[in-house]
Amino acid sequence: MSPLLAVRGVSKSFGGLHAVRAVSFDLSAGEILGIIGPNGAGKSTLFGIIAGQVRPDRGDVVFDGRSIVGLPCEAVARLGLVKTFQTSRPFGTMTFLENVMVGALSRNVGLAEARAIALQQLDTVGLAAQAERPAAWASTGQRKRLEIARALATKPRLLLLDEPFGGVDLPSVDALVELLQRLRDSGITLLVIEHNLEAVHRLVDRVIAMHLGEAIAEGTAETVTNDPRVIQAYLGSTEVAHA
Amino acid sequence: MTGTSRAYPVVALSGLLLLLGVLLALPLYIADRPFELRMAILIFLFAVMGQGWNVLGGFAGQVSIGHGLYFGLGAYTAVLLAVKFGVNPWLGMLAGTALASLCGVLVGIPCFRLRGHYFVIATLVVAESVFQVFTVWEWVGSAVGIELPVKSEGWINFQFHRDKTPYYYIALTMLVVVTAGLWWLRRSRIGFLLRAIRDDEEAVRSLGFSPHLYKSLAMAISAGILGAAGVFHAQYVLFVDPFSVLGLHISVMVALFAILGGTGTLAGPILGAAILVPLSEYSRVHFSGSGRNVDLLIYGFLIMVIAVYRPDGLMGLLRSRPVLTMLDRLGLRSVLLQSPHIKNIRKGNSHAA
Ligand SMILES: Nc1ncnc2c1ncn2[C@@H]1O[C@H](COP(=O)(O)OP(=O)(O)O)[C@@H](O)[C@H]1O
Ligand SMILES: [Mg+2]
Repeated sequence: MSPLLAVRGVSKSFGGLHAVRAVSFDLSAGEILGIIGPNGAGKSTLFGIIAGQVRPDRGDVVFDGRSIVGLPCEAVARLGLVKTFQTSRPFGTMTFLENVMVGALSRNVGLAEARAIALQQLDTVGLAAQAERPAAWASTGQRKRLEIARALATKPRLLLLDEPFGGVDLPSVDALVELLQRLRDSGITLLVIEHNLEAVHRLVDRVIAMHLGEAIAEGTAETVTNDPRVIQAYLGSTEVAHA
Repeated sequence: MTGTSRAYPVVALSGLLLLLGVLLALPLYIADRPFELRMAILIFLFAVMGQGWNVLGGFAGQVSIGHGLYFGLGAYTAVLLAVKFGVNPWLGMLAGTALASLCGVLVGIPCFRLRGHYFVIATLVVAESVFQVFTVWEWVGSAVGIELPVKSEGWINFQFHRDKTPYYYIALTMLVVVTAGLWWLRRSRIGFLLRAIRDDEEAVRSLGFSPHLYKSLAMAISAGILGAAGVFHAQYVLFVDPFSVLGLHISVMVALFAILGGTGTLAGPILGAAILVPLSEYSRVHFSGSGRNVDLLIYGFLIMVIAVYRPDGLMGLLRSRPVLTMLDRLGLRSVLLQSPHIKNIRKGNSHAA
């Protein structure tokens, strides 16, 4: 079976800085793939390339058998590949519900149906009680979940989550892990950038570690986090992995 | 989509009908007072223009200070069609609206790539360039302008010479129709997505929408309304010249009226026009000849006051605490302030601050 997503040697530099260097990997439908690596490793840039927000200097991205490099990000999203932002970007003058309705509207439904879909998705991420509150009031953790609900409302096939556990307090980590597993069970393929290695261990089928723009290790969470190069990468950065 | 009947209290509806009744009857009192009649007509006209501006500037958050362009294009289209080809002014109004819309969409193609201040400046530059072209273009009368040939008065010719009250009713009708249309637009899918674009364009893109498409739609509606207003103005004064319909002051006034009243609301531009048109008309009388400069002084001062104290305009006052309490008592809060899309959700959960 051909992979749902194939990333083929993508590179991107900003000025002289190689943010992403010749990264390649495949992702099969139904898989959860984690991407780890210290800050500045190029993870978010790689996500931007896949989602059509950053144009790579070289390389190709094939989604569902079709090259999507050069498509604008809205066209990529309409194909069913949706990405959340590392720093959540809720619609600030809207309520939680309205935020998610925007996602639902991309399915070409009317407002009434969009509202029904949105309520359902808010319920999925555990924010149903907040439906009427202004999104501007959301805590960091709520924003993360709100953005997931908004993306889910578009009915994506592949969901890219940039640090979904950032700002989520400890009890909610369990709930979030469980949510993402449920999403996978419902048929959504997930590509997740994550710092929280404990969550990564419980969640993913496979991990890719990045450092200085390169993919330096790939395998199960166990093998990758014990890989000396990966440990060295984390130790070499100011950030210390908490595991 | 219908709201619950509770969400539209009788109070609000009867208030609106009362206001409309007063406005319909007003000419009985001011028909023989040219100054007041003219002022009322100008208030309606600028309210229509402010509503039009607000679709792009308020609903979609793309602030333009070049909207005089579309007003002028509408006015010139009707006048040129009448003078050069003998076209009826009502057809001229259709043509002026369509041409202004089309030009708006074309201007949007390069300008919508720009954000924030750059967009504002681009709209200004485009409008100023067209203004300069019209001052030297012989075929459109250059700086001297063109007079509309006087015809026998009546509804078909859209000209009224002795009694100007028909202009009053035409302008009022335009305002009612435009406001009702925008009330619907705000509640529609398009209005909803425009709000999202105003909040965060990148996030809207990431969900699969083309912001350019929706901004172009907003522009088409916005510029079209300005175009129709321009045709009305030409029929009212029977004359166009670059300064009076394409001048920068038109663009600034339109934007200011909407911003002062409150962007993104339906009442804002009407409120803005109702306050600023009389201000400008009275200053013209009291400081005769140089009145226009005094206008500008006042406008400049108002811009500073709004920027410092009330970035959301006079309608923002409605959101201050004492006013909110009063609105709650009258049951009007949801009508005036709440976003139109969330009426049907049960009350009672999660309003704790
Ligand atoms: N738009 C940009 N312009 C310039 N440099 C950038 C840009 N985006 C990212 N970078 C740089 O590229 C590198 C990788 O960043 P990023 O992909 O955000 O890393 P990560 O998500 O792994 O923390 C960093 O050094 C960052 O400063
Ligand atoms: Mg990042």
